[in-house]
Amino acid sequence: MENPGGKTPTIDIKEQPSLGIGRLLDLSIRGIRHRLFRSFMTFVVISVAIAFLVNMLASSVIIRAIHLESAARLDELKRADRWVARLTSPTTVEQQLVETGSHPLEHQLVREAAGFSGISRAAFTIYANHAREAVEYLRFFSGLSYGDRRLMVGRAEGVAIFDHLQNRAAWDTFQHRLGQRKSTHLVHSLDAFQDFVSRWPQTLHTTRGIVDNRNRAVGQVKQLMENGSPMEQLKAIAGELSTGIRQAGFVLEDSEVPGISRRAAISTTANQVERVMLTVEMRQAFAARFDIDPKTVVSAWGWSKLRRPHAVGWFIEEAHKRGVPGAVWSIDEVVAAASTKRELASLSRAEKAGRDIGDGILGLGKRMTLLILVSLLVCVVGITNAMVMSVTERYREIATLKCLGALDGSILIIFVLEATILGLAGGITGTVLGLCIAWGRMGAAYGSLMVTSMPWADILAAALAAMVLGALLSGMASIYPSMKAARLAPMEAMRIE
Amino acid sequence: MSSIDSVENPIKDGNGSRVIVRTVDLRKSYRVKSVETIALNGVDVEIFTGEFLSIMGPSGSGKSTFFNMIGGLDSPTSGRVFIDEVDVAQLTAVELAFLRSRKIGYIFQQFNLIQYMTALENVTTTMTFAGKGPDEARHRGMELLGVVGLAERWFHRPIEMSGGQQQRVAIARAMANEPSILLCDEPTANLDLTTGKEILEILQRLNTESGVTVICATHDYRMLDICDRLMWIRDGKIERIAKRDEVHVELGSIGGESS
Repeated sequence: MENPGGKTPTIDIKEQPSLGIGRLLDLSIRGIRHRLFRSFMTFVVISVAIAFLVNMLASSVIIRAIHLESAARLDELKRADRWVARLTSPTTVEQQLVETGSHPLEHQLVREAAGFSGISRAAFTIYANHAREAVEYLRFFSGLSYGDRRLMVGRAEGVAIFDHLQNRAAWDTFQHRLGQRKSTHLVHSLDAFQDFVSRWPQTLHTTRGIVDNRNRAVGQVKQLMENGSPMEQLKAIAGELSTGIRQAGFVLEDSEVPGISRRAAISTTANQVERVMLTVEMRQAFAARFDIDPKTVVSAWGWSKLRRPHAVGWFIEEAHKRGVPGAVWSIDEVVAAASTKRELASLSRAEKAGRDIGDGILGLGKRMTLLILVSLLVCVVGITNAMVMSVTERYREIATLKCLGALDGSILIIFVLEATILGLAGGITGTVLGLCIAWGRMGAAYGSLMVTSMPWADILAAALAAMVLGALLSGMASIYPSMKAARLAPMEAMRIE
Repeated sequence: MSSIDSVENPIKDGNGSRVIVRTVDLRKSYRVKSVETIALNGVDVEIFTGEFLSIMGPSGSGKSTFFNMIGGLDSPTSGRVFIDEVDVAQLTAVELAFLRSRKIGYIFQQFNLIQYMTALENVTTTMTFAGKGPDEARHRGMELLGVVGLAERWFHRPIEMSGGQQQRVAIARAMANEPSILLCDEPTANLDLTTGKEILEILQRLNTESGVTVICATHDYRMLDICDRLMWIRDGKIERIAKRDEVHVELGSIGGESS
């Protein structure tokens, strides 16, 4: 009674020993097994969130790989088409300028332009630099909003802007307006641009010379290829035609010739098959065989039906039977054309899908980065919620464990371990699930292209990252709620429940 | 120490029992939103080793709160609790865990067994927390289950047992680390008459045989027969404390509830 300070303890209170990790792990696993349904739901939430993330991640690395692979392949497949365009269509000043300005000096097209320009090599080198500048300024002006451009340079567009700025008054207006727009910056200094504008007439003159000579050369080549379509003519490029093309001034490498002629042959066959395919008679034949409306027969659909040799055989036979002229190809030719068509379709899809590659995180593209960030957010929110719920509903158990003498730290570790185990399990399942979905989707879109360009290392890294992320996120998500529960006095914890 | 020992135990005769729980002006109030509820309003009491104390009072009187305070399960708003002359408020979380696991055994109205453990594991877990080895814990666990009469059912989980059996496991668990105090919060409230009686008998036996101090918050008037002292709490204050024989005399005259 006379001793309220209590300085004479009759029991000596020592520190409670903390449990070994093995015992804590055992307690966590028992906890999971006891609440199997609840734990299963948590597991499902984590799996779905991780599957979503892995799907996005794997799809984007696959698309990136396909895109990188396909750019070169597409270049090869379209070789003949490019040559047809180059040999037959006249060019304009702006096109020519951009072509010269956006390739290095040793590029085939630039060497060709040098040939057409008729000026010395040194002079052309200077011209090429001006062309590069011009490309930069053109990009600057096309990047402006319509209103800004209207205020700065009036109605002028493209290279006409440089013509417009030759006028003293127009230049002053431009300078004035640019000065007003503090946030708009020219590529280089204003002085450099003024210098460029003052040089512009010379640049324009040289470009005009190139364009005139090239268009003349196009005329010459057209005469050479009078009989028949250009594509058919290119099949025989190896002979006289190549000499004629070179004489006209075009730069044609010897190594290119076989490729061009092979592609031209396939292209020609493809065009002929398509023409035959879309005749009234063949539409009716397709319609009868596949029981559809003749109007719905379009080339992409038709090509998809001509994958197999026996289908092609049927196609050729039917064309003969119905008296459609022009069906003179061998089955192999048509099969090759069909596979090229399919490949082109999937390649241009890959090209489109990967257009913004190089931006965003890991160079996966802005759109993909955004999607991945969103799925990451879904992961974090889903896992945190699941963990908060499962800790909150166990306050009574936590309170009981504390009454039995469990340390705050032990309780924290039990629950964090439990969450981490669930997170790891969910992460692994989600990763497998997400990979399957991604492979399915990408396989449907790109077919064999996906298999050949599969970026295994990236996929593995993404899968590992997702698994670790699952475990880590759920472990971390459970820290706060279990710490809160462990710190509460036991009765307060019970009262909350 | 000597001053404590010299205090004469007014409850049980001889054998030098001393104060084991002492509260000084204990107060507790809860604040839910803007409403403040006073659960304990200045409680001073001394509880002696080896005694069997019943705390009685209508619901809402503050007896559960008092029970939680002296068990170190909740912290008082003001005032102090001494267990063996150690101020509970001054203990660290780790020391508090030590106190809870070795000095006090808890028995709850809801039994509060860990659902995913067998009867034996429920008993051994608390020994594990106290640092006992697994073999020693299992041996002692079986012994305790034998004391409460459940040795054959050691592998059953709480869900496979009746309320009375669960409460007996809870008693075995509470006794696992040989505590000085057994705190019971309405131990018989969830049980029928006969099983309730069994539980009370076990508590009484433990009190007399191993000399553990039993503090029991209860509504159950059968407690009168076995306790040494009774304490009535009303509106957060001690209404009265009386020895059993004094109360028996009264019960004879007024016949029950002293409302």
